[in-house]
This record gives sequence, structure tokens and C-alpha cells, in this order.
Amino acid sequence: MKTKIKELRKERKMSQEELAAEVGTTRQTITSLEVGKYTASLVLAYKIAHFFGRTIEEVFDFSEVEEM
Amino acid sequence: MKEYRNQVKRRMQREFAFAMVLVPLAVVTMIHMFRVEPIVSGSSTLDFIGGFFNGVRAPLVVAMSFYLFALGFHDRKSLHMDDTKLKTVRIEEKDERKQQIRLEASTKANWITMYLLLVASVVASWFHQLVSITLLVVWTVMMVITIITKGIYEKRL
Repeated sequence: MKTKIKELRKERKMSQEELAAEVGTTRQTITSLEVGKYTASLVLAYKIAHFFGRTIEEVFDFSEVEEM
Repeated sequence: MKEYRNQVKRRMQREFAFAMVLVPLAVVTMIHMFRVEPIVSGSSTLDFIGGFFNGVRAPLVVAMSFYLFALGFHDRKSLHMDDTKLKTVRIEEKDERKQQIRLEASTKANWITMYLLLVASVVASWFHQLVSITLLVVWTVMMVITIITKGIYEKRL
């Protein structure tokens, strides 16, 4: 799944490690989310979106899911 | 963090209790192995297989005991960590991606083991009926455990 995590993180000049600590996950998970290898759970998606002050749909691209 | 600390404490107690059962079991197995007269079947291949399995059995139990103690030691270390370090350990353990990896890996490993057991059972039946039946029994037990745990989680989730 495509996400805007990388862009939003860069905007805030944050490292993956810092973002991971903020949302209570590991750096590897953030990396996987950014490259689209891993789909976050609803809770993690909410935490990330909430941290950036966005809605889940603004951070995560659900277009591929809608096509399914 | 207090909740996680308590969780670690409870886990440690469980592992310690389990190790307390395993260690005497390992010791008894070791003593038994040295006391039992070797069974000579007349076939060097069968003797070799029998010896191999006897040789593997006891160290396996001992290794399991040490493994459990090692885990207990790791958890004991966690108990004395400050909140920041403990938070890192907790994140590493509770990370959803890592949990999914563990789940996928153990599920796949379980199914591969089951298939291999069946194949091994069939192959063993050409040479040794007892080995074949033992493998089949192990396969059946694993299957039953899988079905039971699946049923439990179907109800829970």
C-alpha cells in the first residue's frame, strides 16, 4: 500500500527512528510502510495519521484496496 | 510501563515453573540413558538410527532447560531496566510487523513440519514399521493440537 509517510516525515525533518518512537513501533516497520511492503493495522494507521494531524485516508492510499 | 513490567514478571514465573519440570526430566532422561542396556538389533543401520535418536533425546531436553533459563535471565534483566529502556524492549516485542512475521513463520513452519512428518512416515514404513507408526502418531498429535488451538482462537477472536 502506498503511503505519504515519507513526505510527511521529511516535512517535519524527522528520522524514521524518531517517528517510530513517537508512534510506538520499530524503525524497520516505518521503513516497510514507506516502501509499501507492509500494510499497517488500523491502530497503527490511526496513530501515524493522528501524529501528523491528518486523517487516515490522507496518509494511506486506499485506491488499490477499492479496486479489489 | 508498570503493566509491562508485571507482564514480564508473570512470564518469568511461568518460565521458571516450566524449567523446574524440565530440568528434573532432563536429569532423569540422562540417568536412564546411561543405565539402560543397549538394544542390539543385529542390523548396524538400525543400531545406528537407535543410537542417534537416543543421543539426540537427552541433549534436547537439556538444551530446552537452558534455553528457558536463558529466557528467564533476559526477562529478569528487563525487570531492572529504567522506563526508557523498558519502553524500547516493549516496542521491539509488541511491534505488529514483528508479531506478524513471527505468526507467519511459525504457521508455515508448522505446516512444513506436518508434511515432512507424513513423507518421513511413508518413507520409514519401507524400512521400519515402528518408526513409521511413531512418526504418524506425532503427526496425529500435532494435527489434534492445531485443530484444538484453532477452535480456541475461533471463539476468542
